[in-house]
Amino acid sequence: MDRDRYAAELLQPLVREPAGPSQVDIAQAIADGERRRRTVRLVSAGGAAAVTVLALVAVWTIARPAQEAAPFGGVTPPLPDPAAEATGTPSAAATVPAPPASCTVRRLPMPAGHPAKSIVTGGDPTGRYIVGRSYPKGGRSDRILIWDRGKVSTATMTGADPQLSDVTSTGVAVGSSFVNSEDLVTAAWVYRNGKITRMPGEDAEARAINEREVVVGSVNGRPAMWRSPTSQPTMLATPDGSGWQGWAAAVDEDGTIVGRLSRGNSWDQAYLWRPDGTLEALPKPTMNGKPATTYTADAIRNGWVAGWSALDEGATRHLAAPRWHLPTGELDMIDRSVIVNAVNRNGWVVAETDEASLVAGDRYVRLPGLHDAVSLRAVIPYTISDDGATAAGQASLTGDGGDPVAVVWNCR
Amino acid sequence: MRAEERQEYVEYVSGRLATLRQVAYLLCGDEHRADDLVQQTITKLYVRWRQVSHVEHLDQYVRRMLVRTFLDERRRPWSRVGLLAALPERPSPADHRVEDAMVLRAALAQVPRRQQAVLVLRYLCDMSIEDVAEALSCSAGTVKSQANRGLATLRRLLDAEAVSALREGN
Repeated sequence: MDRDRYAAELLQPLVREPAGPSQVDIAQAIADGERRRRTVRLVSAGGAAAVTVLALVAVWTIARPAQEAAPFGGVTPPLPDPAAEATGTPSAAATVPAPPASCTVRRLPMPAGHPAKSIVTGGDPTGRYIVGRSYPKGGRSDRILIWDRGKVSTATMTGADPQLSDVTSTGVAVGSSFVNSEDLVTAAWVYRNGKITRMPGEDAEARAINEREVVVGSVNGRPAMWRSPTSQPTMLATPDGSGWQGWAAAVDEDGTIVGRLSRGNSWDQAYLWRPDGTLEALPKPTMNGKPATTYTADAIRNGWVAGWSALDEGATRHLAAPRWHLPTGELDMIDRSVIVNAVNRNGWVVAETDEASLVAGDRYVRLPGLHDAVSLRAVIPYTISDDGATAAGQASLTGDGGDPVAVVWNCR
Repeated sequence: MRAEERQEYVEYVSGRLATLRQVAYLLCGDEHRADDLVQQTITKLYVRWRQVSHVEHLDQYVRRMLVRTFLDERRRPWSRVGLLAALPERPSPADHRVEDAMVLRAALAQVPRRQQAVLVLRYLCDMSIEDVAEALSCSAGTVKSQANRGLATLRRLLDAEAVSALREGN
């Protein structure tokens, strides 16, 4: 619901009457229909019986005793810090590094024979793995791409519009595709060691995975969590009453999950599921001195939560990028930003401001596009590593808003 | 089919052609393809007329057939042809509006087809989430997530002016 008005206004120029007289011919439809009726009767005599597949979904209640492995009902042992492992610094000394001074952009390599058009759809906390997709046949025939330290490999995910959404520092990625072209049913997938396998759950979407390989997303349009990519999904708690819809968008290393929920015609609201399953609404951002009309939480890392909020005042919709810090309960707005796509362990974000930026504390570091001279905004950052040295996303190849290509930024 | 059934069919379809054509046009952005979508849809409807003519929500049923025909169109070799090609030929009194529409239509054409259908039905045809879900045989949650995904993709594809307009809430 959150973007309804903006979406309707955005698409408004397309509202036009079809020009010219209709060429539709009812008599032709009857003639063709008569022919097809005969064909249909022959075929349907040997038609296969429909097979109904029941979704196997365990319903998770908070009352369940804390017998499962953490983070779902117990104390969570500290995790090895993937960024520390990668850089060789001990995780105990988890001090905030100095923010980078500048960032340089370069294109990510494409598989041989693939056209340039490509996008980034996720990255791991160390900056080693980046996932995305290409369009080898043009149009909408998508192919999954995985970059490991800048070296590209491809994978094929069954179904239409395949996408890997997130990846761990060990290269395990999750995503979704449409598996039934008529019914708009999604399936969740896990990528590991070059192989993509389907995750349990009907009409499932996998949106994020943490280092413990806990996966979150949705099943049947409601927030869900998988204890592992092979587990049956567990439905997350929703507020009292029926009809809640939404999804879990991201999961922290301690098992804290953030996402969004709405019901009926209500606006989306950001929610938080504690590691023990307790549901909480995230504090509502204030904009122009008024409570936001709608707000969402889309990313979480080390207790930092990044999201999106809007305030409708008359015909104007104000947008902002809220950031919550769970340990302190603080909520601030990332100045000059309207879209934040990722947050790292220090609360640094990649944001779309007047231009694309890496925002580290008070410092705004420009993420350059491939054509600096061109004024059109055509740079989208999508991931940021824990050390702030690597970000990834896409930039227009021609600088004029044309085909996007996958890029990586090195910041120091 | 008996003559009176056929007459019912002709009456029903005649009364719905304009609406169906409008929805088909919004879905695909091209008059010729819109006509083709409607032609295919009413042919399928004729084949099933005896079974469906008395269903309670016939309009919704036919709209769903139309949307599915649109979704299935991706398999046809010519499905990617002509979105932009058809637009500039059309004379228009308001050039910048045509330009806006062209940019938007080109961007929309790059959005995955199911998301296109969700965006068009929800925001251009002004259908409720429940009606879109019904038309696409999916959950309301899927409609919402696809609308969000589709909008995010559109946003990425659109140029600076469109984006700044959205930011200012225009």
